[in-house]
Amino acid sequence: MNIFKFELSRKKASVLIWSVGIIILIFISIAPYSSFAADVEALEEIFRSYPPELLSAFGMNDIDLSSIVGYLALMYPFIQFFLAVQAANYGFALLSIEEREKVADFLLVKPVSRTKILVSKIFAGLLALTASILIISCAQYVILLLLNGDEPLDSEVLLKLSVGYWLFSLTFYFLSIAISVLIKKIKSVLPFSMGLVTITYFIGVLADITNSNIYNYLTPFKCFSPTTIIENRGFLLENILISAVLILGSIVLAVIVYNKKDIQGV
Amino acid sequence: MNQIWMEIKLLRKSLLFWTIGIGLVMLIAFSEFSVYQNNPSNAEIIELLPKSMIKMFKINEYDMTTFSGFLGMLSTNIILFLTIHATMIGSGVIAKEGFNKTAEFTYSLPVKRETVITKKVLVALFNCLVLLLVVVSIIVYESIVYQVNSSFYKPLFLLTISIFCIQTLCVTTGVLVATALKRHKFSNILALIITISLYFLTIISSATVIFSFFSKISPYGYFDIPKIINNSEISYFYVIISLLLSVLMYIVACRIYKKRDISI
Repeated sequence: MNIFKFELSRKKASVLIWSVGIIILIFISIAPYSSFAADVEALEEIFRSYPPELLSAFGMNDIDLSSIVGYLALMYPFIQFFLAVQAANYGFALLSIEEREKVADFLLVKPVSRTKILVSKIFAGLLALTASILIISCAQYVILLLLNGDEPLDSEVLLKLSVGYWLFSLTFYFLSIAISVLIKKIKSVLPFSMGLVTITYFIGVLADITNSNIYNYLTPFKCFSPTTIIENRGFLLENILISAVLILGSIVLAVIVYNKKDIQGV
Repeated sequence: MNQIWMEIKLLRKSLLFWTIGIGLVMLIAFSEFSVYQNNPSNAEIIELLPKSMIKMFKINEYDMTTFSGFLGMLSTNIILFLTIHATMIGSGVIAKEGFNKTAEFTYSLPVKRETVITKKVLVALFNCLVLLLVVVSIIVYESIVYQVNSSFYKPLFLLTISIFCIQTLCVTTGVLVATALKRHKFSNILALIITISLYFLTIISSATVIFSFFSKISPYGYFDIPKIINNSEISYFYVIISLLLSVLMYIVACRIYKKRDISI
């Protein structure tokens, strides 16, 4: 419990800064909605005259741009990018920070098994991440409510989009924990987290410009893409399964490797 | 000269990883171009999309069925990738003395601090240039594979220049943040947040009326990529501005670092 509390208190400031930063980003990206909405009617008119197969090639047929939630979906990948950086940062720092700050021997000589250390650390990071997403989602709801004006807000889809944020962040978090235990020594967290996020982001871009389906399964950016969430009013089972397998696999891998890992003391 | 070799040696591993990463992504992306080639139906739809959306993603200005149009669409993403690299190298090259606890050694050498920083900036720029050259050579290779005619090389050259200007700006931003910030742990992430949010904000703001002035201030708005690709025009005014801006940031960084307490 002590480890859990300590880890949590270490993350307080970081959670606050990230949440505020991402909320500002959300506000700036949603604020221009009103100038955008004027164009939408013309667009809808055009889209109605086109065959759906052609539109689906662009991922356009699924998003209703005339509502603010549809507009949020357009900005969703940008927000996801920053969330992914946060989650990956937490994940990579979680188990490597002791070694980097040369306090690993202090932690590891305590009469606690490594598995217990790992579990308490993972839960602390998980709680910090969840709190951050919760703050962001509430703020996002308020921002949308303020900017939407009189029209009704589709709360159900909005809630699912927020759950999408959470699952998306978790996938990155656990994935980076698994990668971090496999690397001998992480001197600096950021190159690793940015590397992971940019590569997966690019696979998402590839999925956008091609018609082949493989890329959709290779990156969390597409597993939790706003188009699928809005289109199905929820998540696809296959995407949930992929991320569940990734998360569980990462946990198992982390436990096995971290228990045997040769961790450098001072 | 010793220091330059040392820094290059320290960065070669990360450079290798970045090269492999961006090389792979680009090769895969270009292999998908064959889907678009000689397939006019896609271009028609893009023309019908609303103005604000097109501006936001800068799609319509490109004809995706041609090689240069495809490159233009891809280039916004390539710039993001290179930006992240340049910023991290720029701030990392200064801040790493802090977290590797080698500042004591480096700054007690009989060399002025400005000289140390200048060499570090040069090494960072060299790294950016190598990565950029890798990107450009992949593009040239793919253009030979897809048998693009030679008029394509002028816009490619201008694109290279403008990307290098953006990289220079990012490197100096990183250096400035790393020298100005006392806590070297945060300098990396702060510099990155500055450049990446500038990038995204430029994309978002170019679509709207309210923030449209923003895309004129931000470095990513300096270079009109569609114009470069389609008309092979570049405004040399902005090239000079961005170089001046980087020199200015470099001088400020030197000034700050000269007086700074270096904690070990």
